[in-house]
Amino acid sequence: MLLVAAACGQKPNVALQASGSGGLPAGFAVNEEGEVVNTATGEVVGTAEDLLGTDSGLGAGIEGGGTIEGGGEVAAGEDPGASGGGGAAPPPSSGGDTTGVTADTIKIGIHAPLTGAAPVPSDSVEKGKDLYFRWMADQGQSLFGRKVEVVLKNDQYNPSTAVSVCKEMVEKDKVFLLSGAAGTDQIQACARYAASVGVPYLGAGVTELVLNQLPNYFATTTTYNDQGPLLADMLVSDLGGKNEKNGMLTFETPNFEDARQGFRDGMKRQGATIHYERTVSKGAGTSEARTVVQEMSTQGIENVYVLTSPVWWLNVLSQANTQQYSPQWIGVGISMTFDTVASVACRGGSSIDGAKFFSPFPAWIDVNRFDPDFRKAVDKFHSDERGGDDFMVLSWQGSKTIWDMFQGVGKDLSREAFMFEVERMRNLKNGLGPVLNYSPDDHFGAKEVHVSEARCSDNRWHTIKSFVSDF
Amino acid sequence: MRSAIVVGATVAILAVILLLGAGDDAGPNAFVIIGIETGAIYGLMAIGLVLIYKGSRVFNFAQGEFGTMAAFIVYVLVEQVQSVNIPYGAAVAIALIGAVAIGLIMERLIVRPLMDGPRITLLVATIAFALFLVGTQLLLFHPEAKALPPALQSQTAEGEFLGFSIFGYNMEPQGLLIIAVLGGLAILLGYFFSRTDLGLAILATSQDAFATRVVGIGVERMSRVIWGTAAFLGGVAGILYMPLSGALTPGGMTTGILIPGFTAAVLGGMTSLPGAFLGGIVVGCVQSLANWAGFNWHISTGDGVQALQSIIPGLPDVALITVLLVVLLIRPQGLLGTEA
Repeated sequence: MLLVAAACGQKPNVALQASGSGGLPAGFAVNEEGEVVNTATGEVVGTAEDLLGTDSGLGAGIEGGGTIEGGGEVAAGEDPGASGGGGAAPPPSSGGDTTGVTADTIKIGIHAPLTGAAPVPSDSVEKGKDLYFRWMADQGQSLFGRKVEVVLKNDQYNPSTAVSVCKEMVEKDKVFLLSGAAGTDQIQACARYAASVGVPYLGAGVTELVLNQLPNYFATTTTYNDQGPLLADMLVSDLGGKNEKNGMLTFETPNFEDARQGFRDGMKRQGATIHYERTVSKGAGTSEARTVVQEMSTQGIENVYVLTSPVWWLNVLSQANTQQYSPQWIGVGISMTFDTVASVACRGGSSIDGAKFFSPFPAWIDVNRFDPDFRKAVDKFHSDERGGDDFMVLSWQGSKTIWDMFQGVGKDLSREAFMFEVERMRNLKNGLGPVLNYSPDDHFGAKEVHVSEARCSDNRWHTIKSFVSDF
Repeated sequence: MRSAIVVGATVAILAVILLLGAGDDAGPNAFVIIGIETGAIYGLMAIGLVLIYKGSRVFNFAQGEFGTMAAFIVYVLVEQVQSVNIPYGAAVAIALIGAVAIGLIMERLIVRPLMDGPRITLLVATIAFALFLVGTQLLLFHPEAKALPPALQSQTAEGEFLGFSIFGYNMEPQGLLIIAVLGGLAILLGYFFSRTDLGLAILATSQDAFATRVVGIGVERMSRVIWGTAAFLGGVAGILYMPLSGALTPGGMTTGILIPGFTAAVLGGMTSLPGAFLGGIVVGCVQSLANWAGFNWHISTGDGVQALQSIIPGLPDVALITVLLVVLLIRPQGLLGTEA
């Protein structure tokens, strides 16, 4: 009766075309009965006659359940999606938007800050992007007869570039889904673009701002907002921060506000005080690095929560070494715990020694404890890489998550089916990253972190605690 | 006379700030020193920019990448060449020769063919060349950060600090070296352009190439000297600064230093080498003091008492633009600038 998904699936971007011609906005289609339907939620929002040319009511989220026949169904009483990022389309038994999917291939697109602010090892980027998928193919495994092809592009740690490369991957490369490896502003920008064209987006857990409104976005690691209170717990319980002077040093982006607030709330709950709170511009340089180190050093700040780009933190560490200032550095993030950061920082001095950061992936040196296949795969396909590196671990982990999600969705893969199924996935474990539990109301499925410690004895990060959800 | 007044006024302002902050650990004194140390780096970049502007009347956006390339060459020779133990000094010499070679190649392939065209074309060409150099670095050295050791270590192997402390701020030996090099270069180049035949010939070429040719001065030779020297200065800046930045990355000098360097050059006067020195110091101090004020000065608002940085995001940049506008409104040619 009602072929919701097919409306944009059989003819990809039909809704966009309508929008461009003054018809329906993206994400809406007209069913056989002349009703306008939200293709993401399945909700009938009005008649075409009433709504064409206007946007009244078209932005509303779905409330309550409903029955949809034909293209897919949601059992009465089962919430097909609501606020908080929920609201993926019901699963079509056939049809749906299958862009990027053929009988033997699924094409996915990944963007990452290969240059700009994160010291990502370039050689390993190309080698690591599809390592897991190659390994699985080598083991005779497939996703219902399909292999995964990865397109990876550099977002240069710049939101505009991120949107540009994501658009290119969607429109030119025809990828099925998009994924962001790191970079809060870039992930948010690309996820918003993906939402506007109905493309599923799997991103590292960063901010929740705006992303919690996107039905297509799924965080595959714990968000900064959730990590903030956890970090405060660690600071107080493990590091004695309650009776010490604590500081918070972050970049001046609104997308870090929930991370800052999460830490503030956590510290308040623990009865601890933040004595120094400083934001600096994303374009900060040596002058700012010297200034903040001098301020913190003068004020005797003993613990510092740092949430900036790795490259600027290296600048701060360099100044800290000069000022012989060695606080307990703590933080959250993804690229902060790349070995390159520890290696470069340790060369300049020992301020970073003992830094403890939450990480979504285990340290490279400890990866065998979590998944011995990683080293085997690196040795098999890239024996010159001497065991790979942490970016390859991160790629491996992300690929495992994507593989498991595709497995869970099944053979009939469409964008709508993918989003519908993923937001109902529970207890998704891959042995490396956090356990994922999604629901239609909550697309931020991860609550666990690894704790990594920087050691200048070997210039690397080491995993000292794993799958932690409280202290 | 005018130069002496401007320099004297700048020194006096900094002295007053230091006197007012004396004895206050949380006062601005340490931040004046930070400003001078950081400003010296900007000044070093600005001197190269001014030299090219004096000689060719063009803003050279590739100036920063002469420095990054030189820093990468030092890194490779000191850190990656395992078969031969190359002394740091020798690596620096090779890197500077490399930087000069790049400058001469740019002059021959980019600048000279476009010299008679509109200046905007040449300016865009320098941007293109800068991007080419960044791309070359990405290709040859890869994007991940690297640690370039400084010429002068700041600590002994036992962790003892080798610099000296002033107002509670540790001045590292490399920072002092930058200030010394900057001062020396400013004096040397000032003398070169005002007292030597070659310096005067370069100035003459920049003002009227045709007339210069008529009196028998080789314009092409002058151009080579200018670009080679500017690339040398850029190389010096890169080798001295990149170890202090904490990480050597492709495009590092352009993203970190070029814009403040341009600001310093304009502020000091695009035609004045001592002005570039002074402009660098002023830019560094304004940034540093604005950073300090943004955190330490508070204003009462409807949401309670807030630090200035919360009310004015990007305060150092706002302060810098304000100072630049005020100076240019009063003296459009910059603090020490003249017509030639």
